[in-house]
Amino acid sequence: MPALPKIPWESIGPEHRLDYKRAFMLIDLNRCTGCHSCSVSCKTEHEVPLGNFRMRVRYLERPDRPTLAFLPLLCMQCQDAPCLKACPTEAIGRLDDGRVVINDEKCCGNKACIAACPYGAISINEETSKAEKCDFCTHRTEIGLAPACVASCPTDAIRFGDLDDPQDPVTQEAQAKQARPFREDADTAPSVLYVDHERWMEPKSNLGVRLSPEDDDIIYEQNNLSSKII
Amino acid sequence: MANDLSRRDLLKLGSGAAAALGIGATGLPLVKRLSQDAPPIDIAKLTANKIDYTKAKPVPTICFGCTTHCGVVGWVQDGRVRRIDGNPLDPNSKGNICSKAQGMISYTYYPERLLYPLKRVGKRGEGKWKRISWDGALDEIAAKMKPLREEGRPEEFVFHYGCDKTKGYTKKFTNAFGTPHRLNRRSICSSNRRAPLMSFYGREFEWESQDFENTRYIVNFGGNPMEAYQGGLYMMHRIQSARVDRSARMVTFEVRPSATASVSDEYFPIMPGTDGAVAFAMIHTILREGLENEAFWNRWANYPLEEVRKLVAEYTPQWAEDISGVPAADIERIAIEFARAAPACCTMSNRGSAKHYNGVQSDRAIRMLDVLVGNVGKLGGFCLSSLRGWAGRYGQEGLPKLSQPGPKPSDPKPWGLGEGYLEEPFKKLPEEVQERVLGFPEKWRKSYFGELATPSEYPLAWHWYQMRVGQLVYPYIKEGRQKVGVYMSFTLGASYGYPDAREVLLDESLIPFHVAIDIGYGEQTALADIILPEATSLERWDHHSTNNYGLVPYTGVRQPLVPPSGETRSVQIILRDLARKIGGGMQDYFDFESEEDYYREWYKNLPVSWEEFKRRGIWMDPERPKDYELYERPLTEAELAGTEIEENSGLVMKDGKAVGIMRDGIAVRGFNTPNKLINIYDEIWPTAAKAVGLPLDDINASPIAKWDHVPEHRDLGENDFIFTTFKWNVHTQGRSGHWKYHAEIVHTNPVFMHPETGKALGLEEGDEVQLEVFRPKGRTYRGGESGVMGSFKNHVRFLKGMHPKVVACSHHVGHWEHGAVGRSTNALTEPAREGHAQANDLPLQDSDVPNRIWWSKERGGTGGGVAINDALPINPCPLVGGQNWYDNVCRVSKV
Amino acid sequence: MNEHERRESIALGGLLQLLGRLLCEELNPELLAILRQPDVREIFIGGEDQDAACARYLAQTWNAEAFEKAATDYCELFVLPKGISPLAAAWQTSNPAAEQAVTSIPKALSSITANVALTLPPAIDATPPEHAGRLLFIGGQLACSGDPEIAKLARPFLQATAMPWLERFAGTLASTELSPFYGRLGEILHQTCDHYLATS
Repeated sequence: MPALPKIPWESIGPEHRLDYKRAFMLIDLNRCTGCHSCSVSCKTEHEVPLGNFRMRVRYLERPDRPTLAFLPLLCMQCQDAPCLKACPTEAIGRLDDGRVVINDEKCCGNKACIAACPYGAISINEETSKAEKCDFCTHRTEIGLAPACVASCPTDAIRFGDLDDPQDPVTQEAQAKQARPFREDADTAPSVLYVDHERWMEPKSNLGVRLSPEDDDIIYEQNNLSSKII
Repeated sequence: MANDLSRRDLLKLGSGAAAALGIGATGLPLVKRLSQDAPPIDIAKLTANKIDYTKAKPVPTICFGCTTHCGVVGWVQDGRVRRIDGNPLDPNSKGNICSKAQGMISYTYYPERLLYPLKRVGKRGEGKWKRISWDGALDEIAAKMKPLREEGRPEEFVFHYGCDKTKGYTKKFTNAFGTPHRLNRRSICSSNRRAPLMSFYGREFEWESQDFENTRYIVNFGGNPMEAYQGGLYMMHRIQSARVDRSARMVTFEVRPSATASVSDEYFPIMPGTDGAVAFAMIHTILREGLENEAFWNRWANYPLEEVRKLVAEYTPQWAEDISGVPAADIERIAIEFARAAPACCTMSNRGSAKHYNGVQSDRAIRMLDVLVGNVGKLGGFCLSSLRGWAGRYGQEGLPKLSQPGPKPSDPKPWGLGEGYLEEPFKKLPEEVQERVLGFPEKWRKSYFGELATPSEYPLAWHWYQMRVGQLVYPYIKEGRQKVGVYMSFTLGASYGYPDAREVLLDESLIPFHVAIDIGYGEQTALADIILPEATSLERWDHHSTNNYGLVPYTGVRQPLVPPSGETRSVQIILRDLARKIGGGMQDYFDFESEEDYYREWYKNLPVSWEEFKRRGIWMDPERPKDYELYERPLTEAELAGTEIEENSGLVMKDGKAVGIMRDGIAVRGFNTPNKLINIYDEIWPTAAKAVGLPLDDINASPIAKWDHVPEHRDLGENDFIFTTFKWNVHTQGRSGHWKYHAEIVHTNPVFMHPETGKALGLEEGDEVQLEVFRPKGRTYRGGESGVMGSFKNHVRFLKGMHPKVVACSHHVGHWEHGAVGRSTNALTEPAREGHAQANDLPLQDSDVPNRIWWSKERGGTGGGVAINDALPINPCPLVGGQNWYDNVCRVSKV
Repeated sequence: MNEHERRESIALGGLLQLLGRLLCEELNPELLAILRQPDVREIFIGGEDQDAACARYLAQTWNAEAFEKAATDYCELFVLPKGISPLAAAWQTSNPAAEQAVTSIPKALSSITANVALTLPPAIDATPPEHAGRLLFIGGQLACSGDPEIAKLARPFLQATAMPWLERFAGTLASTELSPFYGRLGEILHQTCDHYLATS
């Protein structure tokens, strides 16, 4: 009997910490099938209440074909983060690997970060009036696990890597496929790069993860179309 | 509310209570500290926290978020399941999961989950219940079931399941009881597409396993593995990898911009019910271009290629364009590209092509494409790896035998006249049914078990095995074709999802006693007399095996991550205990105490220890070769011993049975069919037609794939549309409406249509419409009756990818039972509502649960969708009985 | 813990255990007997007109029919989906900072059970961990402990696991018209939360 394969979920601990110099995510829109494994996984992982989102998958009607495009959106973990700069109480900081994290003990809820964010990535928890957003699952990366969305994507559409490591295969693929971020005009040096993201997606991507009256997605359906549902 | 209670009042109440409870002045030593060295508890430091994976326990199990059943790993922290990950050791899913895996956590912990056995009070369906003990419940059920068995009418016990993955455990119960009535929902789902496969390839291959990992070209007729499809996830990750990493191409014919259509390299909107025409035109093109694999066809097909040429002579691409709307030039090009990629090419089709009046024949045409280019069983082609995995009887040589422990009760006897038949239940059948059955060929008479399990009007619903015609169960009971004594629902949502169910279920003269086993209080359990709360998939055991798209058989085990919540019990324990109470020998088949011991016995022949198997959750022989070209395997010397070769057919016969076939002088296994060939031509269809009186010119009577229109699609008026239903990736069937994170994403089911269609109807997006569905016209249940079957109101959404003649809604939503999420209501619960208006000094307002169900009507949202099933007619395809979901003609008008 | 504190703790424990049992068990002869205890009866029924209905209810003839109706009421309120769920998950808001997530209940419970031997009567044990009645009863058992260190845990335990959602549950229950008895129970529970469990 040949040796049985190793059991991967038994290798977890601080010694396996993902020690990146510049943590980044590569989202390949050619692989994404809009299954929501990532967004539901995120909700489950962080027990995000209904109505708030750290991550969301949008369904967009393509202009060139009669089909849908699927767009996972989350905090872009900008290297030059407007939210960090805008916060008056210094509640937003940065970890060693560059990711941006909100310290909710210091958050005063004045929403300056939300106004500053070009990506609609920050939500206010209406009960606490505190800001919340994706943190690349710090509690997982500390012990060697990829962020929840990465771990749960069934088509490898979302991957996690070290942009400062030229040997990292995810970084190599990002370069080979010329992955780019959204809203390059915002000039914030995001750490979430998309393969084959297209210009026409930009206006919808601006809405980010939040529910808003301008949102006419066919999923997360709201009662906001021209004729209201009685 | 009176604020009349002071601290003193409460303390007074408390002391009184303490005295009444017998708690003495010194305090009962009820609560002892376990150890003096235990660290002090600082509860204040216990804050809302993330999962700590260094402390949480990973336990592999099998998902139950849909019917694909991927291997997963659940993380348990402090006795609670916190997250589901994929199990990379599963060779089928390879560690991948979809969103529905997390749904298991939803359905295990949602607040309205059924936790106690309940007995109804008042009238059935009134909604009034009281808790009872397990013993009380099982005693009462046993008391109702025993007489049926003792008085020789066990068939009056009807076990009706929606999703049974116990792999034979419940069958043990029904066989031990002696009833043939284990009713399912195969026909509601996929029987139309299974029949063509079994006709071509044999009973063992009702489902294929295309080699997507290695394929270069996929032609997809309406399948949607990116969102649904049995095995969808196994297909999804392979297809995307093949496309993105290895330039495989996928072409999809669909009626809407499904996720699969959206990621396909080409998407063609197609008129519903015309997939067969496109497939025929492709066959025509391939033959015209000389791209067929003549050698393979001549070796294995049972129908001369010359006849096929004649068959498709008129089925030109232009002809197909006129029928389907798919451009002729594209049909031609795709056919050529497909054939040129052979053998690393394959077709894909499921309900989209098959659940039509002409769907069975359409799928036979589609399946012909693979045989024509010779990709069957080849690398990258249309492969066959037994769906029944370990239990299959073709290709399982060398696998350790895994079988349910304990004595096996025999199958019930067939109904009929004479020796070896049960005469009593047979004689209770209507005269015309008896006549029909007595006229059947012997093979069918030997497998006939009454109208619910084996409806005589639909012999192909049970010719290969019992697929049955689930949508006729309630009408047949209503018509009196079968008397019911005790009716047991098991994970069944019929009252929500089957036509006519509620009327029959509410009628105590038709259903004298209804026991429901389920995890939630849904529309079906609401109509029961006793409810038995079931343990969820995170809390129980099951054997698991299914066809591997990686083409090597494997097995897994579902094991409990946490004990059953509240007073719930696994179905295994429920039926065991019920069997013991019924007695009369039934208990002998359920002679076990520990479930774990039962399953350990089941897997005892695996070459790994039980502990190791539980630790991994999956076992596969890593050295076993893939199931390519199983049919070419030469017979071994042992297999050849004592055989004779039949001269004309080349069949290798042993004891009157064919065990192989001679091909070019070598005895090989051949296909799993009686003639060991691929049955392009199959007499079973006209045989069945004659047996039930279906005219031979009906498309369903044809022995060879044939084209004809869906009857009600001829002469479609300008204002007639085809109403189609579909599934979302975040939902499964009718049981996910109450999964909160999934309902948050999809909680409505608007009518999707093309914007031009909307414009012509004078509609704007979001407008409310009335959709009326007409009765079918074919030779089906109440076919030909004119008029509207039913209607519903819903709002419209526009999508450019919709076929202009199609309007579509999903189901999944529109529940009127289940909890707050399932009903999409944020309202205060009904018993409280009346009182709330007065109690205005209460702290509780909707704002206290601000975003909880933000899509509820109370919060200005859309609410929870519309139940549409009552508008859809029962429409079984002749002979096979699959529900023709996608033929419905409808009218849409602005409200 | 001095004598006065201990007596108070036992009173609190008795109150919590009674409330817990009333949420986990249908009214039965044993519970009715406890409700007839003079101090209990006075507080339960004392008060304004709403409680006259409660008084009448408790004073009715408790035949088989009455017990069955009580069981049906219990089920309609606390078991069926359209009732007033006694489970934490039904009442959680989107405020994870201000209150405990449902998943911290198992953590609190396992901390307790790691150190302390609890014996739960079958009706309590049949409920899932985040059931209001179960948590109240456990709090009540802690408060009644002879060991003052354990008795002191009752209040923080309930604050960690049951607040503030329990207050919302109690408030909704208090407003029900289905049953004057359970309505009154809701009021008492709400007051208990106010006086004993709310952080000042």
